[in-house]
Amino acid sequence: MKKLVLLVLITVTGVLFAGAQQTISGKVTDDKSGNPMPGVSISLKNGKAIGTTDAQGNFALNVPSNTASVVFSFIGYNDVEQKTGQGMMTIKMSSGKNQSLTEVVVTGYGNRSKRSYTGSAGTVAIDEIHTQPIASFDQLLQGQMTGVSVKTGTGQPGSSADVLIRGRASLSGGTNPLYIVDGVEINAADFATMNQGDFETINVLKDAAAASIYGSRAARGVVVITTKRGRAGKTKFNYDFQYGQSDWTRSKLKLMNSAEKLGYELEHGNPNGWTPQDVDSLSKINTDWESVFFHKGITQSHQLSASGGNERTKFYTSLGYFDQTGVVRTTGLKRYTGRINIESGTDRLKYGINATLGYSKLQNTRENDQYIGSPLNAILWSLPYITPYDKNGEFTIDNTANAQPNPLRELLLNTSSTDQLKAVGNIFLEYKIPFVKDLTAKTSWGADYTQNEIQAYVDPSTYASTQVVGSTGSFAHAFNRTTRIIGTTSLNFKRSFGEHDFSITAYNEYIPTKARSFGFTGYGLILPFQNEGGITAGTADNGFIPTVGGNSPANRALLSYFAEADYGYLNRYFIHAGFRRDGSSRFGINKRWANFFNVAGAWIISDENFFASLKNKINLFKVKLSYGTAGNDEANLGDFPSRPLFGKVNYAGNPGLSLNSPGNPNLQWEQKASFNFGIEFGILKNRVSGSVEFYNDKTTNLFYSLPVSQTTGFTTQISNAGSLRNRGIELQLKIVPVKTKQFSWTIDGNFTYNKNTVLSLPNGTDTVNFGSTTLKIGMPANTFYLVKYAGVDPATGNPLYYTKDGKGTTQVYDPGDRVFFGTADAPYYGGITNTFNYKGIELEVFWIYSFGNEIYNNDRLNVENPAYLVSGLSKDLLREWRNPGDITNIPSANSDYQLGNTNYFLENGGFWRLRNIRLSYDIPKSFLGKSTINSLRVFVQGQNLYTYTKYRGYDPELPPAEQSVHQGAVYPPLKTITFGINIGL
Amino acid sequence: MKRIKIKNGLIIALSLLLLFSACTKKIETTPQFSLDGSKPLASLDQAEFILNGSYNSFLGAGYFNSIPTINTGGAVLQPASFSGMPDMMSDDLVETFEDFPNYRKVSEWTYAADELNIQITFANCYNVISGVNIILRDIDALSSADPDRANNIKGQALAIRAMAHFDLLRYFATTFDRNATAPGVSYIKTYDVTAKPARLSVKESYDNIFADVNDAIAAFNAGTASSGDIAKMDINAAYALKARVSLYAGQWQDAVNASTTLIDQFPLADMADFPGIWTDDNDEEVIWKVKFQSVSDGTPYENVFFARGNKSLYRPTLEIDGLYDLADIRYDSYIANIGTFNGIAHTPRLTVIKHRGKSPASINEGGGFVDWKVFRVAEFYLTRAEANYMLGNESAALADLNAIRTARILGFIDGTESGAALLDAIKLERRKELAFEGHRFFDLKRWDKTPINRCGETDTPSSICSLSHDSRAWAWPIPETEINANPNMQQNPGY
Repeated sequence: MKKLVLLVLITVTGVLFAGAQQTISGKVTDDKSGNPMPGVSISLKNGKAIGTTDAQGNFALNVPSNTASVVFSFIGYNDVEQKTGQGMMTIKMSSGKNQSLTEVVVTGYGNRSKRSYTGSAGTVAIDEIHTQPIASFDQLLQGQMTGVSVKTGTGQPGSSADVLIRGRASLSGGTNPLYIVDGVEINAADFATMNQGDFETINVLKDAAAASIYGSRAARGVVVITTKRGRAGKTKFNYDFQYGQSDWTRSKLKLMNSAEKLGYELEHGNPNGWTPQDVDSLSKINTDWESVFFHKGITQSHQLSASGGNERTKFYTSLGYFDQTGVVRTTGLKRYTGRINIESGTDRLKYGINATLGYSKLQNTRENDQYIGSPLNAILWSLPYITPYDKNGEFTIDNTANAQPNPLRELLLNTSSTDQLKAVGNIFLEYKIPFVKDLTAKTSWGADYTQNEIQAYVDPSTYASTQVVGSTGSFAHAFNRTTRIIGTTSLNFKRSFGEHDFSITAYNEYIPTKARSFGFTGYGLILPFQNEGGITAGTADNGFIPTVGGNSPANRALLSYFAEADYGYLNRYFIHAGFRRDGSSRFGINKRWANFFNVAGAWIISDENFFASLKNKINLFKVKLSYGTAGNDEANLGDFPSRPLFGKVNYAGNPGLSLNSPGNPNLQWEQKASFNFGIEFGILKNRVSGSVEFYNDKTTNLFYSLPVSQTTGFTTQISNAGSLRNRGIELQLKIVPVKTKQFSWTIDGNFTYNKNTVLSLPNGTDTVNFGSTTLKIGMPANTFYLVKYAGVDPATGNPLYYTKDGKGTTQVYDPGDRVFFGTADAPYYGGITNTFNYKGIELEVFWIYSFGNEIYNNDRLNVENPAYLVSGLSKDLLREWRNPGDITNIPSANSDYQLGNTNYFLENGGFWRLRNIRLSYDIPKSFLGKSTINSLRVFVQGQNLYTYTKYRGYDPELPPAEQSVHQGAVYPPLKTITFGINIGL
Repeated sequence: MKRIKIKNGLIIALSLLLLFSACTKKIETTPQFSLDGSKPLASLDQAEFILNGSYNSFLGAGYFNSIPTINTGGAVLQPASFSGMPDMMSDDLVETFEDFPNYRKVSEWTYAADELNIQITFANCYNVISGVNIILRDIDALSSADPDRANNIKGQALAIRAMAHFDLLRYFATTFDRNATAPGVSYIKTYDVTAKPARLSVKESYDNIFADVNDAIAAFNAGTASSGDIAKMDINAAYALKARVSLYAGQWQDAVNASTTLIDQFPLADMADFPGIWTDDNDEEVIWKVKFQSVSDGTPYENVFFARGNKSLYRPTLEIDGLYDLADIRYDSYIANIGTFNGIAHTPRLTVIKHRGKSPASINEGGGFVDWKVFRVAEFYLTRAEANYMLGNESAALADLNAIRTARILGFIDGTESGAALLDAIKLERRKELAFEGHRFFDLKRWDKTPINRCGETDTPSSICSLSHDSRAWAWPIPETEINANPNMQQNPGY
């Protein structure tokens, strides 16, 4: 005890009698333009911030006399380290790859220096996000950092991605991370209407210490985005332009050509009764249905932005336009966005507004289904000897037994579009409370408003029309709006005394979400209008009675109280603790509230005295440790999963009520406990730097659709049951093999291994079937569970199946013989970026990879099952068993076809892909001469130009909606080449 | 110094108060578009709404509906379990080249316990039952408001409960013997999500079904006997159900009595009116029908003939096609040889047109949605004939048989069959009259599992075309998902 007192005394005296000071002063300018740079951060070498430059780029600061050098950093510029003690300092900063930003972790509730950060978070290279021509930003997270698995298996413009952070942590509950833009929660599905050109920082918070400040919503990880802020100084203008073309990839699934198909039909009973003459003439037709559907897509984008201000008021504004047509005809996305961020105030009072308005128009086509009316299915199912148009230029009608609706007619005449209007904004007020030093109150109120107007026209001449009321076309028009309010109020006390940095903050947060929808579908589109004007008034006789609906898709609220505290000593030891209490309207009255906590610490070993001898070799060596809990309230069962609900139905013109779900009044929070251990290092003057992290996350009280006896009238009941674990290793490495004045080469790579394991399941039974996949204790979620196919009996042509023990084979399909295969969630993934820079010419090559998973290729089943004799078939069937003694793995067409329940259609889902390659040139200032142009960059880039995979289809990545199966109607990924120019004035 | 400290404390306290002033009321939300089901039903109106909900379940995936619903995850199977499926599994229909083999494993009897079509049926029947059990839980407490109406609702609920359990028995029991100890169905009388019931024996299942039917008749007698809506069950529908179940159970006299009650009230249709029964132009002979009023309600028979998509997925066998006399008026309402579609030439082929759609649709353009006639009086002529034959009353049996034949065949001269020939004639007439109405597979199963053979006319390359007397497939397997969730559930032999 005495020793402790002594220690405290020494520290306190240290504060009171701090060492001698020296003054440094000077001016910071841009090395190209020579313009002064206001707002540049100045810090000591150990990362401690000491001040910023003023509006003229000048600074004058007191620093300890033993300070040998200080570091200047500014967003978008390379850091500069300058020795002190040489009088007036003249600092010239050059723009670069956002070096300084990676040194800050933005948690959304406050910024922290990366050095003192105790949690696990990844930062996205913003440059990539700005230039890749993809409408929905979440797709761009792919390969950018460890621990973030992204599925982007569709090329439909504007599609969002399926993002998993550190593995699948929930079974029935939501798994997509929480997205926060300037403190406001955003739906991933709406990123297509936001302009990622406005984003300034993107941080992904992965472990408990990082994410649990978002407690109730953090179990799935958090993506925190901040948008650009203005900086004091001369107003700067930027114009970015990009234009390019998209192409499609050919499917690896090869179909029979006309001659092969006709031969196959004749061999199996000639269902269409073709004569030899028919066969002769039809064999000459070979329609390439891919070319019929796909065309070259065009992408273009423009963005104009301005930023500036003075010391009191700063602003950033932008206007954006993005237009992408897909490779499937008629599909595309057009987007118009605008943003204004203003911050104003004095040292004591600060307030501001960040607001964006976006409008997008999406024209899409059906995907990811097995419906014969979906045009994308027709690429496989249409006959090669049918043409899309007949001699007179009319749509051909397939009057063979296939009767496949003319897919081109369906695609071109039936239109559907979504007009989305999105407004996101927040206002904040920050006040340094007088009388109490270092106490700041802040309140921030934000709103995310989204409205969608959805229109779908079905032409009376199409197949889809035969499926609607009255079989004479339809027009549907629906509208929905969602409003989410986020109000956060906090009180922060932050004080540094000597080598002690202390901060504590208490928060209150309230997030209500409300949504409404309504719509109608009208029938009898007889008049020549593709809108309400075409609808025929309904009577009992003509049957064109419109259907009208409406709903409340969201009606929930979340209330939270939380606090966090940070303490740093000697800018070398850091500890962090947080506590949070959350209430969600989604649970029953007694189960609403839950508590979450987290603790973490970090130690910069390389700053210790005993490390001094190594310091010139190892520049940074930091270890960090965290443990904490987070929650999930999204059970994927609407906003009232705790209650049994009767929903509206109709019978014979009478209204009725039907029990939709049994509800569970005891439903409560799903909880995730995370442990994280990490090492960060930099060696050889940071020529080699990186991090290694190990994590162990355990989700308990899993939201689980507990199978109940179906005699109850239900198949499942939502419950909290079972637990699962995600355990993994993440490696991040940055190497600078060459760095000379004129040439540099940087390799930035990341690798993640995630092992998902089901730890416990309810009911004492550990096997539950979800179609082709299963849950089994000790195995990953989404493990395939199928009978193992053993090939074809050469004597009979019948398929053979392995028995459960794998030793014998049987000709009788029995689900009791099912065994476990791999998982659908890739355990290994990552990305590698190589950057070469020579005198301003830069080549960046970005690869992504993913392996270790399997995919069920249902697309193949639909062209390999011989029962589909009359529609398009796979070339594989040409190898089918025909005569006794044939050795093949394709059974006789006469056999009982049960291959769909076997592993026959399981395929290796691994791939590596050249996600992006970009060649750019920064035209030197000397070349631009005295023109008003400050900076000029031109580039050409290509996306998805090469993919290596064994998967037999368009793409080894599943569409975001799917966990294990490629259903059908696949929209292939785009291969895009664009040219771009960035001008700074 | 001290004053400032107090002031500081006050400011901090005030700030904290502001910070945490939000109250928990803020997270109270209530559903606006659905009724909270955790409370007892509040009124007879609510009971009636729930009853309509149960009728709506007859339009569901595993009952009388055949049209796949499309969602983003693809098409959901609609086996039309009690309309099309029993015929697809019989010798009346055969799969064509035009089919998507979504139901092939069922129609070729190669199903195992993981068959989705079977699971859908199992769940759908019990879904119907869970709704009426909620009504039956609360109806007595509500009856004082209007006892006649309450008894009518109760009668409908009991009759529906009996029917859904009986339909399950038809697929899942290995035998229809009245006193069999083999497993029948789990008979569910209370709504309880946590229940894990075992199967009763076939005998106990019958006991419960008859008890519910008789209670239903008693309730209808005590209150309003019929709501007057042909889309709802009434006392006659309860008698019809009783007659049908009695025939399966071999309670011949009960079958005769219940049939007589119906025959006395419902005449056979005139020849001129007969076609109108199938296009919903009239309700002749119909005791109860489940109404399909637009495509959004679904369609009962489109997995056999999908007229709107020009696909004859299952065609009538040549065998049944050849059974009808040229003078038989039924043929033109049941079967057609369709060559063209919307004016486009197509290979002519046999199609089932019995349920192609409501009038005034033309023969090629059936809208597909048409009421499903669950009970029609003609069935009870044939039921009474068969039951009377079994009781040894051959003359009464022959009279009913002749009544049907006279009503359907132009210039029919009364037959004089007797003995085994009379039984054969009754069975033949039953096949012809009730063709494509969801009876054939169950009748063959009822008649000592008469083997099915349609090998002479298989269109598809498939070589599976017969079902032997001792096949396991006469009884469907209990779905494996049910076996996994309910350890008390007993699987059928062979699965």
